Amino acid sequence: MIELLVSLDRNVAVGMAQAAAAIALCLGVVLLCRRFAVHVERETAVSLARGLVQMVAVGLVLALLLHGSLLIGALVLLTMTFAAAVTASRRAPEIKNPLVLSFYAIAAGSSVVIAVLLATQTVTSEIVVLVPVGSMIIANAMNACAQAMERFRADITSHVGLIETGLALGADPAATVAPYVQSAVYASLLPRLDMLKSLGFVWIPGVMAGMLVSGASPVYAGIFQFIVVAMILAASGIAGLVATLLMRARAFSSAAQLTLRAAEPDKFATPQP
Amino acid sequence: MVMQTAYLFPGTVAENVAYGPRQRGQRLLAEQTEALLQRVGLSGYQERNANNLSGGEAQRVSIARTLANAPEILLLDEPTSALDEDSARGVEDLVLEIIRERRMTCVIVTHNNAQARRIAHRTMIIQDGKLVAIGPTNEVLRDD
Repeated sequence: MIELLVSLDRNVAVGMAQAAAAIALCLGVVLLCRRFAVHVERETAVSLARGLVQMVAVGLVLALLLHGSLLIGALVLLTMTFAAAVTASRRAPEIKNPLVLSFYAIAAGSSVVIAVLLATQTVTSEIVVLVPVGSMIIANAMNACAQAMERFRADITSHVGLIETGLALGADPAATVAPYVQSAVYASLLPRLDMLKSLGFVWIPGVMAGMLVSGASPVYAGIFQFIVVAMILAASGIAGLVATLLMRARAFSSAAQLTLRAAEPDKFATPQP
Repeated sequence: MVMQTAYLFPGTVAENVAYGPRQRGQRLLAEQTEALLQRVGLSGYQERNANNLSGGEAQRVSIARTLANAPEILLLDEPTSALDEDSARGVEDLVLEIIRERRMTCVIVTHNNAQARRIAHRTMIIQDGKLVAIGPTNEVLRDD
């Protein structure tokens, strides 16, 4: 940590001087605005202060990532997984504990894939490699989880009558929603399948582009990109499947009653004109 | 249980009728399916697409599907409320015949007092979630 701060020290001093020049220019613009009765002094001062503090904080986090231990990398990935779960959980507010459900699904998909990537030495455990690749896996697992949850919720709430008819005729809850489990998992995989099919023809993803720019062998860059997209597909499949199965388990009561219903409209919401 | 709307599963009429027994690992024989469909007035409908039936026909298939489970008690949740008058009367007559034939206990939910008078021996009136009257139909619905 001390070494890190020492190495940063000289650059930080230069950077702060350059930032001061940028701030001075902004303040000049504020004064110019004031002459035309446009008063943005307070807002600009707050924005400049916030911007500087936030970017210094981001810089410190990045500096820690570059020099930090594997434990810090694992914590960063865990935090990313939690943030992804918060985002995905908004897709199914009707389900009990959607945050926990999303977290399990995203963590299952991404942890299995990251473990395989490490075990096959496709990526090294260096934090500067692990975190960016891991974040791609987590982000795609999050999308798959959200898509599966959204599709399953929509299918269930639009087929309540059919599902309850099946239950009334003695069907097992899992059997009544089997077609919707299939369509939810498929819907979560479809964008990743299309991505894999169009790889190289329609688009050259960022990882490959970055490797080419930094001078890597184009063939190896292509193979590496394929591995990453294939792993994204695997993570998405696991996340979508786990999310759907957990959601299915929570869609019924212990007495096999369908409890997942469309959310009631917010009666306190402001009516739209 | 027969619901207000006849929710039929995608597939043929025969597949719908066989749904309940299939859930218990039983196979409904072709003759049994025909007998059930004949009972509800839909003889020869086995291979028809369940999505191409009229409301009255769909409700009859729904009743045949319920009977395929050999229930001891038949629960009917407003079985005719989504049907036109002719179809509703046909389904109502069918329900009455089945109850008499099989001497089956039947609980029917209805907002139609005339229908309750035609079908039920005993009536229970529920208002705002509370039981307000119970007894023989001709006494409970006497004043209506």
